[in-house]
Amino acid sequence: MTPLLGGIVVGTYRWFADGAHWRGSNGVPVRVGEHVLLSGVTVAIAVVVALPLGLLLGHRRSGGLLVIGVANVARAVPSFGLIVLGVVAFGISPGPVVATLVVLAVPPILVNAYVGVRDVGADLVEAAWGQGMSGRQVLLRVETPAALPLILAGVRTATVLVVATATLAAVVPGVGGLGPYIVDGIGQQDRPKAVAGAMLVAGLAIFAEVSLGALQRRVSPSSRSSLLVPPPEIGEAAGQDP
Amino acid sequence: MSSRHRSMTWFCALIVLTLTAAACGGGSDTEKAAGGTKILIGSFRFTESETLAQIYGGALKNAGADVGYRLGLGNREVVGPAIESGEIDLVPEYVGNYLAFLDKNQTNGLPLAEAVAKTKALAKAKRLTVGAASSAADGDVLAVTKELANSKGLTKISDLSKLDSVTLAGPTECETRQTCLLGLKTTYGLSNVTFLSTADDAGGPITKKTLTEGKAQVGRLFSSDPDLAKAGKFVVLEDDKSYQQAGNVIPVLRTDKATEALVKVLDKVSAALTNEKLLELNKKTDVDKEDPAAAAAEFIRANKL
Amino acid sequence: MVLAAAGDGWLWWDWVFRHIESSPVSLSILDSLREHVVLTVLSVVIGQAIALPMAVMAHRAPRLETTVLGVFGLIYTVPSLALFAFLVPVTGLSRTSALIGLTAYNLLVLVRNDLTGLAGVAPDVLDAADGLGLGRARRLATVELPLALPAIVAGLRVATVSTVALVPITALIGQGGFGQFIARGLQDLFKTPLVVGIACSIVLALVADLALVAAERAVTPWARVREGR
Repeated sequence: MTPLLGGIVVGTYRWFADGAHWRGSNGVPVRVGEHVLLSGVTVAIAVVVALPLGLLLGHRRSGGLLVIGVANVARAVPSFGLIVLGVVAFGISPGPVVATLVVLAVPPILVNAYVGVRDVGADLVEAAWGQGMSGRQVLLRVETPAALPLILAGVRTATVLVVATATLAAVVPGVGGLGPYIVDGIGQQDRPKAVAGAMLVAGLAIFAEVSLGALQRRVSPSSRSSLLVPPPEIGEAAGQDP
Repeated sequence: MSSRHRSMTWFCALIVLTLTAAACGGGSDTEKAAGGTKILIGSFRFTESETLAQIYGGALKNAGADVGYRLGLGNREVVGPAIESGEIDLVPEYVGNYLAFLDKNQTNGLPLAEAVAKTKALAKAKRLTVGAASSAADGDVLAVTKELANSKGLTKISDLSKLDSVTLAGPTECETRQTCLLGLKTTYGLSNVTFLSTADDAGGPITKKTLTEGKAQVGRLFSSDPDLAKAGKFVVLEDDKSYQQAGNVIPVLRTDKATEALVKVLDKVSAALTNEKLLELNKKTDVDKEDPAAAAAEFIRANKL
Repeated sequence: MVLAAAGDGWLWWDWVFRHIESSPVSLSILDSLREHVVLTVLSVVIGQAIALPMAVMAHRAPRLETTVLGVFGLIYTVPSLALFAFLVPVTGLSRTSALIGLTAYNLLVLVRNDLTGLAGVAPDVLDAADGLGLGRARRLATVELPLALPAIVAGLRVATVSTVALVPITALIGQGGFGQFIARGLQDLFKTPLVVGIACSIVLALVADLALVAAERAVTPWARVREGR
């Protein structure tokens, strides 16, 4: 086992050290860039779609059943199946892949925005109403800022999920990203390439997790949370149903 | 016992029960030989290979052998080591690509008899026996859409130099094979070729889509594909510099399982396979979406194997 | 494009019925169901077998808690395909690789919920147990764990549903459960097996969730009594 591991470690180091792997359209910078672009666009669209809806529903304290339903079903959907569904239904272009990833990214953002706003302290909200603020002002100036940590936790979860699932887009020719390193590496029996690709995408995911975690900490009034620990999903612990 | 204590006991019992059920219910990855020699047949991850594997397997079963299957393992980079290590015992191979796999320096196409002889010798060194080659062949071909062929006047592979840039669509292994991308650069001297990986899609619908949707100009397909027939949407480019090998079907078997009787059965199957019949089999599985198992069973019955 | 009249539909029922029974060579709903269940149950049970003792130890040592959560959190963040890419050179395209990966992803959820459960036991209850002369081990077994059960089961529910949804990815390393139907859908751009694979996977997840809810109700009768049901 150890010589095998040693061989893989050395092989991967050599793969990274090879200049040819950093040039051209299959080079590391291009692939990382593609992956970041794909993930970034997806999360941006998901935020535009899910955040206003979640904030509104939380503010009105309505639609809770819908949100619970979405949260429960979302966890049960196989991401691999969804990606293939996009390909089979809409073809092999980036559009369907982005759409599929957006569908996966929406639930964490929606649920967290909803719960975050809904659970803002009643006294805080009443005080705001008491000051004569309109509904919109209450939402924008009081509820949303108070819900910010939870909102960011949702965005953080969605981002890591998208970075991970975007690797599966390797089955769609031409979409790019870091997935092809892994899939091609396994298909060509080129272990260093597969491991290198895996390291790159793992690094990207961890970077997203940690940096968004730092941002989340910044806006949290009192936070003991570690940077490296993903936030719990709503409904994870007993008694925390949305 | 307090109710809480009882509940804990139930809970623990539930866990133990589930674990046991899971362990018992779980099948094993490899078949265990019941007593006689078990032949484990592998296949590549495309339908034709699965059909062929079950045709050879069904014939062997009719002859009294104990047959098991490990279908859809992957490409040759996975299947080759699998049969060499004994993970599988038999695989229906294709002469040309198999020879190129055994000898990476084999760059030009050889006449069939020579190719078979060379393959036999190289396989022997790995303790593998090859049966007789069938007349049925399925080789790698490079194809373009009819529209592209007509508009740019493409009839043979050398014509690709007429295009400013060429994107070749093929599965991951195509990128590193002489019989695929590499050969275009060396044998044909094409410098304008880039590669588009279709991951595990070996000459299948995704590769074809890259051609019809203009994401690639040239695709690596298989010669026995029903879509390449005269009425089809694609045109095969002639291999004018013979960088492809003849793709005749040839069974490869581990020597320690290769009894005379067994090899005889394999040769009988290989003789029954022809290009027309292979095309027909593919029509059934690819167009009519029949299961390879059903198509193989029909073939065995029809040819009395 | 090669087309077939029935074969191009989203739900070709004839094909579905032909692929229910067990078969060594064709797709089979029953075989995939069994494989999917085995992979899920094994990875969740093994995961809990690791997580629960870790939670018990970490519960008493806050520094250990940070480390455990950090390590499990790191593993959870690594994309699944990447994790399998790390495993395959070492443990091959085998069920073992699939199980290691699936189990690893459960650890964070399970340990976090186990910790929440243990932390939720009221201090006066612990004092009462100590007052009764119960040793640490007996206290754990007869007081703390039973009271932590709702949270533990909540973790099991989330882990189970998530694992059922993750198992299909193991089709890329030769396993897959219902992922094999999805893989066939991709390989042939064939709609029906794709639909079958996704639908069966979702149904299995929901059924497993309900089963665990029922199991929890059966095992914690005092919770219902307390709520006055």
